[in-house]
Amino acid sequence: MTLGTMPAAARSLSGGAQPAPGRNMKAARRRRNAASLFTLPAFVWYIIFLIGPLVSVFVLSLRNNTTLIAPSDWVGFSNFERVFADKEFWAAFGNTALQIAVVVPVMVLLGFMLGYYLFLKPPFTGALRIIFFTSSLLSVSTKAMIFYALLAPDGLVNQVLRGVGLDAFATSWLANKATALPVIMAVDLWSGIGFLAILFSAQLTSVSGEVIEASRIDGCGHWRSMWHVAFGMLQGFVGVVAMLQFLWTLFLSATTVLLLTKGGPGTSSQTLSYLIYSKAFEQSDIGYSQAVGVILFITGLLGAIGIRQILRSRV
Amino acid sequence: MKISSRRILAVAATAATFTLVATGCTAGGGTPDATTITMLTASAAGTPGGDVYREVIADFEKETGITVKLELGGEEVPLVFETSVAANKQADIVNINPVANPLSWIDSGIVVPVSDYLDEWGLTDRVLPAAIAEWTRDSDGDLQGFPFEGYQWPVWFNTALFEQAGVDIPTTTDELIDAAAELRAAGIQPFAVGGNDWSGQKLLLQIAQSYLTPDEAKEVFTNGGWCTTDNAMKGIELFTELRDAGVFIDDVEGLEASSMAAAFDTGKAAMMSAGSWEIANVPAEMKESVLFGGFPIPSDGEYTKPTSYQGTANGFWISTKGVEKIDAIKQFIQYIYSPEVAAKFVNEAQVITALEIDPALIDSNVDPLLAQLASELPATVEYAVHPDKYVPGTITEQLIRQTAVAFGDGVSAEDACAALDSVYAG
Repeated sequence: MTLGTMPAAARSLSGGAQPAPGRNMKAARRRRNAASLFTLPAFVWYIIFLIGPLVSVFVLSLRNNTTLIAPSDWVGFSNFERVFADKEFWAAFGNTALQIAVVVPVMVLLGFMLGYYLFLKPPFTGALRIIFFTSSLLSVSTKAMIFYALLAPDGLVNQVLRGVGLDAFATSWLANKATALPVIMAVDLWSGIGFLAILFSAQLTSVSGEVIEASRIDGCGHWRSMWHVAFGMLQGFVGVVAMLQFLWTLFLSATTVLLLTKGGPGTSSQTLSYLIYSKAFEQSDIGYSQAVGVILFITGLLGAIGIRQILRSRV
Repeated sequence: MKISSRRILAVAATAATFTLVATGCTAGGGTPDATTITMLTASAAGTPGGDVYREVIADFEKETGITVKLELGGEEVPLVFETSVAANKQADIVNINPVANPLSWIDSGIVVPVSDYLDEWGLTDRVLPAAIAEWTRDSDGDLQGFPFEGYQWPVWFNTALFEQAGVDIPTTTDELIDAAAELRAAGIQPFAVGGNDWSGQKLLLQIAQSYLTPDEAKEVFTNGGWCTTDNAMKGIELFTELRDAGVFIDDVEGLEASSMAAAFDTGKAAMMSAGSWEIANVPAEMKESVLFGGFPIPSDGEYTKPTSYQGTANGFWISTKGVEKIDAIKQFIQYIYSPEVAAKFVNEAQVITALEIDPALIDSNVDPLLAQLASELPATVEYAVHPDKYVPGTITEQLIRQTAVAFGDGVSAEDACAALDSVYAG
């Protein structure tokens, strides 16, 4: 805290010569203006590249653009009416809800359990950290290639199943209505659990080892120490991670869907974020696409607030 | 010296503005260089067509002094072009086919109609009338671009595999079902197709129109009504019958066009439905075994011969920005359409063109498969209605996702038609 931003009461306690109030205020204002000047580029950058696009989403959702370059008119809320009357939207909404309901809790809970295991410093902790973190170092395209090679009709999974006589279980994993969405969720989980484990284990180092030790002396097993002590002390952090994971799953699933299933077969693996892409770039319906974008934005905002409320720290 | 904050801000803003201008951070602007034209294309170097384009362009540059810069758009040429328009950085010419998004480009004001240019540049008689008709808009009669490449889209039969299994080439769907059983008994996969992409969509819609007149097919492609049009339902029932009889390759619902071609080109599958552009990829040792024909027909269907598709592929669209360099573009298009240059594409890239080409210019050693397509196929097939001209571009991708459903095991004809109609409902 600089002197210029100190409350007057604090300044009077700091001793020394008291400058005249008028001169002091002018100096403070000059310093504030100078600080504003230095933050101006970041502020302008923020306005242009973050606020601008966000506003454009709301604007485009009220227009009937087919593409960004096509002539268009204001159409009020008719894009939203079309969205809510469209079975494809509700299919994508249902898929997204299922994806979040499965991926977020499973990833956070498994990530926490693995993180706690790392915190206990088992044998080969360093190697385990590297293994857990490796999936985070792969690009989405690389992950998609790996899973495509595994799950293609003649991919490794089907070869293994046929090799051990389980032909009946071999299927076109990416083109089967029953398996396409679970595959997308499995990719999310595979690539995210290890990363969360590293985050949680790092955060657990801030928990006093004596607290865990005390719980063990009091007769708690690892399970109770993990959930009743460590989890409770990290609840605020878990809330933040769960909120971020919720947002990542909600907004970023389009890339995995695009690379592996393109939302099909039918609408079986279509998610809301992929629907935005599909409507904008495949179906030339920017207005509809951005209406879904607004719905997704509001859903994300409400969901994030809800998760933070449920899992906020009470410690 | 005291300098107020406002003055500092003003100076900083002025400096920033000056910097932006000095570094060229302005939208568009500048006088176009009339001796350099840009063309957005999917033709990459290393492909037969891409290499011929580059040779032709090098010759053109040497002859005229005009530079042609190629911009590669991969499989997303329409998207790349539209994005570049938004940034005012679009190419002068776009090399793409008249399907989906490009069909709205004249309405969006980003390309210009070329009807007058075709006449003024003396090219009307060079282009096949059917190609001109395909590129002409029904709404206003505007020609959208210059048609250049054409294609045939037959069924490919590997005669060596048919001989190995001891069966004849089928011409009816009953014969096809029998042939598939015989091929499978001989350990050969029957009909390869990408059930999970556009190649499967084209085949399904080809089979589905078996009982439809061309006009009925156009109506259903454009407006849907698969479940309520009796003859469309009969076609879909025929498709499910063929699927359930094991006509298609194993795991067909998960395959894509590249897998289809790989299965055929490696001798794993005995048939596939693919365009003439695949000729360049056929292994030399297999060419003698390839026979082109049509898709077998039901005995009580609308067609009397097996069916095939034909049409035009990539042509040249002139962007609104390209009009500023119309003289250079005129020279380039006229050069590409000259008889010798067009024949070079046939001889060296095995491309079927949409142009009238003097047979004397075609090499005697032109690819035998290309010769077979040009001379023998038309007499053995009837041409079905190609869906790409009639399925609205805005639902093409959705329709592909829904046709993929129909390739799944056990999907009924009712569910398959409902899946198709669901796309039109929106």
